[in-house]
Parts: sequence; C-alpha cells; structure tokens
Amino acid sequence: MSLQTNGTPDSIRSAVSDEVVIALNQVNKWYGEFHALKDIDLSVHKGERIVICGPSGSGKSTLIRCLNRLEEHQRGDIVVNGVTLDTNLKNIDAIRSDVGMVFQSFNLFPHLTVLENCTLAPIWVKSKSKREAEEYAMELLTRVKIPEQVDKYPGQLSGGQQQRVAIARALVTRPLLILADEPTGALDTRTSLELMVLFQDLNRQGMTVVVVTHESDIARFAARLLRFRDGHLVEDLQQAPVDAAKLLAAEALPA
Amino acid sequence: MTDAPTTSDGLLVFKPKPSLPPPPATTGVIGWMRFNLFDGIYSSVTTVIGVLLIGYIAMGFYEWAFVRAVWEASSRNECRLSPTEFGTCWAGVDFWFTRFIYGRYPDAEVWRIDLAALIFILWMAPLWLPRVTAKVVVGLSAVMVFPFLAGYLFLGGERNWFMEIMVALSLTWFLGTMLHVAVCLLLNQGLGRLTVRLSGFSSRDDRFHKYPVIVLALIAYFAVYFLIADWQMVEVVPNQWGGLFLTLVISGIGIASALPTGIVLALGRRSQMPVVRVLCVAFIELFRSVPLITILFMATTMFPLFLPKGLVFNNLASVIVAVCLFSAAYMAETVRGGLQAISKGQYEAAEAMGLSYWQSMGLIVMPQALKLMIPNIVGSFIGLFKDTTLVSIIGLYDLLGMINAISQDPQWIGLHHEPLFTAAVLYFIGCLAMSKYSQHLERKLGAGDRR
Repeated sequence: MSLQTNGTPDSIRSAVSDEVVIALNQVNKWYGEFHALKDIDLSVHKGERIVICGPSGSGKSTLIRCLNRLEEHQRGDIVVNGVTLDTNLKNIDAIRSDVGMVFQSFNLFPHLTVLENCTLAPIWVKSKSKREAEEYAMELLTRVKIPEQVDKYPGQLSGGQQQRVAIARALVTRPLLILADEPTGALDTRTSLELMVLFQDLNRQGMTVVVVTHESDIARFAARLLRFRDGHLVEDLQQAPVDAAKLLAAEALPA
Repeated sequence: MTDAPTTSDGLLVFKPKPSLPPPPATTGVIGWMRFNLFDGIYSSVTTVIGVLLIGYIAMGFYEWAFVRAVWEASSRNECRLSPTEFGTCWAGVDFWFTRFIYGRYPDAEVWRIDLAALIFILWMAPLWLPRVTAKVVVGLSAVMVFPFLAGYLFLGGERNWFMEIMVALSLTWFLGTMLHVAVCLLLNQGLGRLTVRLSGFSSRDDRFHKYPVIVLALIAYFAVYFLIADWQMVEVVPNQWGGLFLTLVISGIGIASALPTGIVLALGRRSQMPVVRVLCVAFIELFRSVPLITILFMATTMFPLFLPKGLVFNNLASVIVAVCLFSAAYMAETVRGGLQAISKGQYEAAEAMGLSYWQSMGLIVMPQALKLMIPNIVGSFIGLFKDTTLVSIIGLYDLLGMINAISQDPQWIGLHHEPLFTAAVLYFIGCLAMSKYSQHLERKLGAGDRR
C-alpha cells in the first residue's frame, strides 16, 4: 500500500475524519453457485472519496449493492453508520435513507417531474412537508446546476443532466454517503468529467463518495482507489487525485 | 450570379425568393385523392371496386332501414301488410324500447334508474373540467363509493346497518364532490383549501390543516345519516331488473372491481411469498381456463348447493360475483404484462430511496404500468361489457334477453332483425365511448412524458 500525497492541491484533498461510516468484516456473497465476493474487509471513513474499479464481474457493483441491501450478503458483517445489516427490516430502512444511490442508467422516474423526483423520498420516507421538501430539493438542484429544468420530465433532459438530477435525488434525504454505480457509464467524456467535478465538489463539502467504475480515466480523480478482481479486494491505494475542475478547464474539450 | 444585387459599396445582398404556393394537385382534396386513392392502376381499380361495394351495401341498408320502414303499427302483422311490403317494423322497436332499456322494472319507479344515471354523470363530469382539483379522488369515489347509493336506488326496501352507513357515506360524498366542484369553478381553489382558510387554520403548520376538513366531513356525514334515516323506497326485486340497465349493472360492477382485484392478484403472482403466489396463480389459471358461461352456470346452479340452508343468494348476486371473479383473473394477467414492462432499475431506485413495497408500487410502478396498460385494460372492459350478454342464457333478461323476449310477444312474434340491430347500435355506442375515452386518457397522460 503506498501513500502519495505529494503535489496534491489542498482544495481537493478529502477532509477525512476518523469516523468510520462503513465497516465490512469478512463479507461473502454468492449468486447461486457463483462466489461473487470473497472475504472482503474494508472500512470507509467519513469524508473519503473512493473509486472502486475492476473488470466486469469482479464484484465491485455487487459490493456497493450490498451496502444498502439491494443485494443480500450471506456471510460476514456489514456495518453502516453503526447499524449492522441483517434481516431486520427496520435497520434496512434506516440505512437506505443514510445511503444515497446513483445508477448507471439514472433510473429517474419518467412519470414525475425533476422536482417531484427529488421530493418523493423526503415526503414519503421522511414525512417532510411538501414545502420543506421542495425548498431543500431546489437548493440541491441549484447545487448540481440545473435549477431551470425542475418542471421538466426526465425524458426531456440530456444524459448528463439526468445524472445530475439523480445525484440531487440521492442527496435529498441528507445521506451520510453517496454510492454511485458506474455513474458515467452512459455519458460522453466531457459530461463524465463535469460529473467528476460535481463529485469532487460534494466531497469537499464533506460528503463521503464511493464511485464504482471500470473506466481507468475515472479512477485518477479519487484519493483512495480500491481494485477488485474475481471477487477479491486486491489493492487498496491512497493516491494523489487529479483535480477534475482544472482538467476540465485545461483540456478544453469541445462542448 | 452576374446581376446579383449589391449595395453601393459593392457588397452582395441576400435577397430571398418569394414563397410560392405548392404545385397544384399535390395538396387539398385532389392531391389527397391522387395520393391515397388513385396512385397507380391497381390502386385505382381497388378504389373503384371498394366504392361500388360500399355503395351497394349502403343502398341496401338504406332501403331496409328507411324506405321500407314502418313507424306506426300495433302489431307485426300490420307491418307486414304495409304498402311497402314486408316493411321494416320499427314500430315494434319503438313500442318495446323502454323495456330494452329498463327491462321489467316497474314504470312508476323507472325514475330511480334515471336519477342514478344522472348522479353518475354529475360525479364523473368534473374529470373533464380543467379547473377541478383532486380529480383522482373524484374519479375513484365515483367508482368505489357511488355503487352503494346506486344499489339502494335500484333495490329500495329496507336498509341493513351496513347499507345504512354506506348509503349515507355515498350521498355525503356526492354532495361534497358537487360542492367541491362548485367551489373549484367559482373560486379556483379546492374545497379542502377553502375550509382551511375559512376556519382560520391556514396560519398554522401544514400538519394541522387536515383537522378542520375532517371535522367538516364528519358533521356533514352525521347530518346526512340522520336526515335519511327514515327515507325508504319501494323495493324492486332483482328479478324485475333487465334490459340495458341490467347489462350496465353487471358489467359496471365487473369493470369497477376488475382493476383493483386484478392488481392485487398480479402483485400476488409476483410475490416472494410462496403461499400467496401459489394461491394467486391457482385462482388466475382456474378462472382463465374455464369458459365464462360455465362459470355462470356453476354460480347459479351448483354454488347454492354449497351454501348453508336458509342463506339464499339471488341469481343476480351469484352472476355478479362470477363475472367479477372471471374478469379479475383476466385483468390480473393484463396487469402482470404491464408490470413486466417496468425496468428493474425503477424498482431498485425506489427501493434504494427507502420507499416501502406499497409506496414504490403505488407511487412509482403502478402509475407507469397502468398508463402502458390502458389499451389492454379498456380492451378487457369492452370484452366484459359484451360478454355479459351470456347472462341471457341463464335466464336473466339483460339487453339481449329483452331482445329475445320481444320476438315471443304474441303481437310482435318473430320480430328479430330490427331489435337485434337496435341492440347492436346500443352496444356499439357503449364500446365506442369506452374506446374513445381510453384514447383521450392515453393522450392526456402521455403528455410531456417521453422516455
């Protein structure tokens, strides 16, 4: 394990605290006969920015889907924010509002407007009033830079804009961390880069971000890199992240 | 470009060509006909044959329906002896028309059916008024709450405690809906909001806003409950029901119950719980693999044998239950088809958000699935509406039953064609209305929602 912090500008260094948000202990997961996760040990601290990479089928998506119980692990312990994931439904509900999830195919709800997409969870899960939910949703939509599109339907937005909405939607429940499963998989290079700027910004403001990707390009934006292979966690690396905002300005990719 | 216009200092000036009309014979009626009817030799020949065929049929129909028509006669014989020879006996249809609609319902009580129909129309009408809010509640209550009031209007007689409660609820709800619509149209805000404002609760937190509304609703309910406590109408037993009225009662209840039960069965079939799943699959497959007529016969002949002594289910009730079960099984498969069209990502996103199973079904999955299913759902409804003619075989006088009855009336004996044609027209109107409404709904719900 190597630790390189030389040359990292302070602005994008994660404000990592000692507080552990996620702790995995000897986690194993099988799909039928297929052994997808093998003895995974991992702890994620508050404020970290992590990229998990590896070839497809290596278990990286499975891992983060286990973290908010979209998949069930069979052996080992997963502790999210002090709550152990087991069959207790109450625990699962608590964890799901603590963990925001962003998907490769956005998965916005096409029959609801952008704003309605973002107020659904606060209103129905957190029992917030409509006004309160809308205010906070607007604040987040402004932060992801799409406040003008709030009354449109997801189908009327571009891929990059949809993913921004999805991130805002993941943030509305005020989660402790955000899990992103191949968030740039359906986006072009420039849009991906813009999204990375957004993730870095969020992280700078204290959000823990875990991004799963198989694109090596994306990996360099993280301060900590986890590499998966055939269900094993083979590498856990601290690195000097590239500042996505600077790169975006420097590369001047065609809009 | 030799004589292109230039300015004084030699710059080229862009001068647009004037917009010309399109070449003649490519637009308008001529253009349309050329393109669609006479586009080449084969197309022209088929057009001519088609037009001749349509003309021949139309002429034949015109002669049957109008030229030979006899409008006034007191028996079929009179029609036959008419100067037009074997006249088309519309007189018989005219004489029996009230019976086609109301069956053998007593003439003095027919107003009750008309009143129920009027209430239903008034209840549904707000759905077409853009200024009315809470349309979902209005529409759902018209389907779920209205039947109790209608049921009592049709049946009359004494009410048991359950009907006492439900009729009062239904009537209160209807009056409330009408008041709500009036408030919406006049003041452009819902009844709920108005109540909150008038009660002075609007300055309080949103959470308290429901209390004045609940209090008002309860006061209204108990007022109606005690006002109609002594109200009673003459009983009309279901044996006297018939005609289009009976058809609409059976298919209406079938249609109204099919969707909710169908949804529950479809969800049950996809459930993770083995017992629930097996029960739902068994029910669906059983009712789908038995013809409706068999189910109807079973319901009226065999089912009573299983009932304890003394409990007598009238034929109509058994038939309605049978139709409901049958249509629910079909609807379940339609709904399941729609559910399968929703991507796994939608379920996952809802789940990851922390929505419960019922929340994600009600807020995310069903609204999308139902919209996709509208054509199929309405297709089942249309099918059900027409399938209810089968009850005429087991001795209920629905529309078709009444049509058969006229041909056995000594005065009009053997009169088949004209009443059947009338029934066809009535069914056509009913089905066309449903079909058009579904298209309207599709357009309305599809607006702004592309994938």
